[in-house]
Formats: sequence, C-alpha cells, structure tokens
Amino acid sequence: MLPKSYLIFKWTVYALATLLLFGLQSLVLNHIHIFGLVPFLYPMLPAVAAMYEGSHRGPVFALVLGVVCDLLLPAPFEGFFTVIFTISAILSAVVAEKLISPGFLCALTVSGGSLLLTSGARILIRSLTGGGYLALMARIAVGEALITLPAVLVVWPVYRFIHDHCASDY
Amino acid sequence: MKNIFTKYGFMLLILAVLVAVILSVMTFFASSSAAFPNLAGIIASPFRAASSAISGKVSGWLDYLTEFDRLKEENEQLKLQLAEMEADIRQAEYDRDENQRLRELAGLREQRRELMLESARIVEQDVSNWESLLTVDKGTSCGVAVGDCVITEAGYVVGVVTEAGYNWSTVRTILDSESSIGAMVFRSGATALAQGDFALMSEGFLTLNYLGTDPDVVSGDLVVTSGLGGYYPSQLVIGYVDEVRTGDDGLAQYAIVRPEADLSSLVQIFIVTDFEIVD
Repeated sequence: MLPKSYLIFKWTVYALATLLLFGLQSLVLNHIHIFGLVPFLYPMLPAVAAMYEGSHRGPVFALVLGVVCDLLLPAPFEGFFTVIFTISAILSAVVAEKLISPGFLCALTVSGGSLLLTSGARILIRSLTGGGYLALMARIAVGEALITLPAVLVVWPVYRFIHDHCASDY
Repeated sequence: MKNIFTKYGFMLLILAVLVAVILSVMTFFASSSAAFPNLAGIIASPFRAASSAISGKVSGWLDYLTEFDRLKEENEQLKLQLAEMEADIRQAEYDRDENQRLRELAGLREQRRELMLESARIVEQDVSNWESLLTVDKGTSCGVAVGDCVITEAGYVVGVVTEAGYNWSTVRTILDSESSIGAMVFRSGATALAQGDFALMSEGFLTLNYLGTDPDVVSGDLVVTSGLGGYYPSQLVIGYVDEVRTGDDGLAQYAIVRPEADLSSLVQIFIVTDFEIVD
C-alpha cells in the first residue's frame, strides 16, 4: 500500500502533464489542418494513463478528465466525455493487463481504440438524433484517428516518465 | 465481458453516468450557463486568452514571412476598391437625401436601424471536427445572452450565441449543422432558412432551404437575414448563392451559400446584444 503523500504527488504530476498536453492541443494541434481535419488529442489521454495505472486508478483519472472535458469542450450531450473516457480507460486497462504489455505498441493500440470509441459514440448519437451522412462521419472518424495517432509519440513518453519516475523516485 | 467490467469497473461506470446526468440536469435548468461549466469557463479564460495571444503572435510572424507578396497585391486591389466605394458613397448620400425628401412628402415614418454591439475577441476556434463553434471573451457580465446574433465588423453574420458564461460565451457559427437562421434573398425578397449542413461544413458552405418548388433565386444572389420573428436584426449579410440544386425528392430546390464572413480567420467579432429596426 502506497502512502497518501506519494499518491497526491504522483497524481499532481499527472494533472500538470495533462494540462501541458491540453496546451499542446490548444496551441499547436488546433491550428493544424490535415485533409481539412484537426487532430483531437483528448481521447488518447485517459487510454494511455489507464494503460500504465491499471483498471483501478486509470478509470478514476479518466472520469475526472472526462468531467473537465465536458465542462470545457463541445459535446453531443453533457457528460459525454465522462462516460466515454471511463469506458475507454476500463477497456485500455484490460488490454494492457491481458493482451499487450504496456509500451509503445499498447499505447498506440489503446489510443486508436479510444479515438474510434469517442468518434463512434458521436456517430451513434448523431444517427439516433436524425443526422445522416453515415459514410462521411465514418470517414471523419477514421481520418481524425489517423492524424491524431502520431501524437502518441508525445503522450506516451510523458505518461511513461511519470509512471516510472514517480514510483522509483519516492 | 464479465472479466472486462469487474464490479469496480461497473461502479465507476455508474458513477460516470450519474455525473453525466447531473451535468445534463444542471444545464437543462440553467438559463445561460450552468454553474460548473460557467466556473470552468471562468478558470479557463486566462489560459484561453494566453493561448489565443501566443498563437496569434506566431501566426502573425508566419504570415509576415509567407504572405508578404500576397498582402501587397491585395493592398493594391483594396485601394482600387476603396476608390470605387467612395464614388458609391457619394451616390448613396445623394440617394439618402432624396429618400428623406420623398418620405417626408409621403408622410412615412423615418427609417431607423440601431444595433447595440459588444465587441469580443475569439479565444478558441476549431476545437472539433464535428461542430463549428467559437469561444469569445465576453459573457453575461457585458450583457451577452443566449440567442444573441454575432457579426463581423462589416456586418456579416458569424453565428449565434449558444452558451453564455460570466466572462465567456460560445458562438455556434452559421456553418454548424445545428445552426438555423431566417434568411431572405435580397434581390427577389424570397424568404428561406439558412441552415448549416454537416457535409458542407468542412468546405465552408451552408444551405438555403425551404425555398419552395419555383424559387426566384439564382447563383450570385445576396442572402441576408430576414428578421422575421424579431429574433435577429434584418438585412445582415449572410453570403452569396453559389449554386441552386434540386432536392432528393426532385421537387423542392435549395441553394448552396458561401458565407461572406471569413470564419477561418476571424479575430474579433461583434455581438448584437439589442436592436431596434424601423423599416
């Protein structure tokens, strides 16, 4: 059992790193248009964090991150990111625990999955509320995932550093 | 499935759904913006402003390096355009005086057009591939309210305020697929509905719907706000008709409209907080 002060320190560092990644989205990615699409980093964050932090702490981090995103970002309904990020984190933790050991390949897999899950939920909601253009929406979902996935090269080392060093430095 | 979602996972998922329900209920009962999103917006405001300032500076430098020649050429064109417009203004002044005299002779009320404007800076843009929204740095503290119309300095329609926090607001642009605004074809007076379309959003177009089976609209027509219902001021420029198409039913026609406001390069906008128009 880890002491409380260690947990507070580690999750504070996670929060600060996540804030920096929010800055990356806002300052850099929001201004990059590839094939008319903008990379969307946020779904990647709960997935990569849950890959390292497991099925207990990972989804809690995802839930909090989801609430923050719901308060700040446009979404199909209030609480959309809270629910989707929690599901994404639970699934990512399972992938990391049972299928692929945590590392770059696993980060890439769970990030792709999380991005597609988020877009898939959007498509489902749009379809249920009468929106057409299913093929176009699927193209946007895949395109968004493809142009965002290279950002794993930034997110994965940041979270790995926190996971590895915050534990060993204590 | 049992292994994937453990009892703990299910509890967390239920908690997430509960949070989502609470957020939805709070938003549903809030008149402008619910307490938590409002607070989050206030906290995020300085970060958004800083981010906007930094990206504005960087893009300014990049523009200086890459667009110098183009801007020089554009400047020459604008000088010519200005000279033409000055001639138009002289004619308009003459016409206005004549109009005034004729109105007095006919005993008509004086035309009046007063828009109460609140200027605001765009602090966030293009945050999603699924919506077309802007975040601006003015909110309820400056009299901004949900439903206010948003225009550029030239009076071109940008969109409508959909969420208003204390010192921030969210604007849904006319390109967004959920956007809908009463419109009129300036030349013919045909009324219609200018609506965003998901397929056209990324191309920067919107549609003009409910034109009827035989509408008097052609490519190049100016589209303005109709002002019907009194929700938005009339005669604000939305854009120009790019193309007229026939709907899937083979009867009703609709038009593709290119908005006059360049939504991708906006920096400052004006929110119409109140208006009075006498035609």
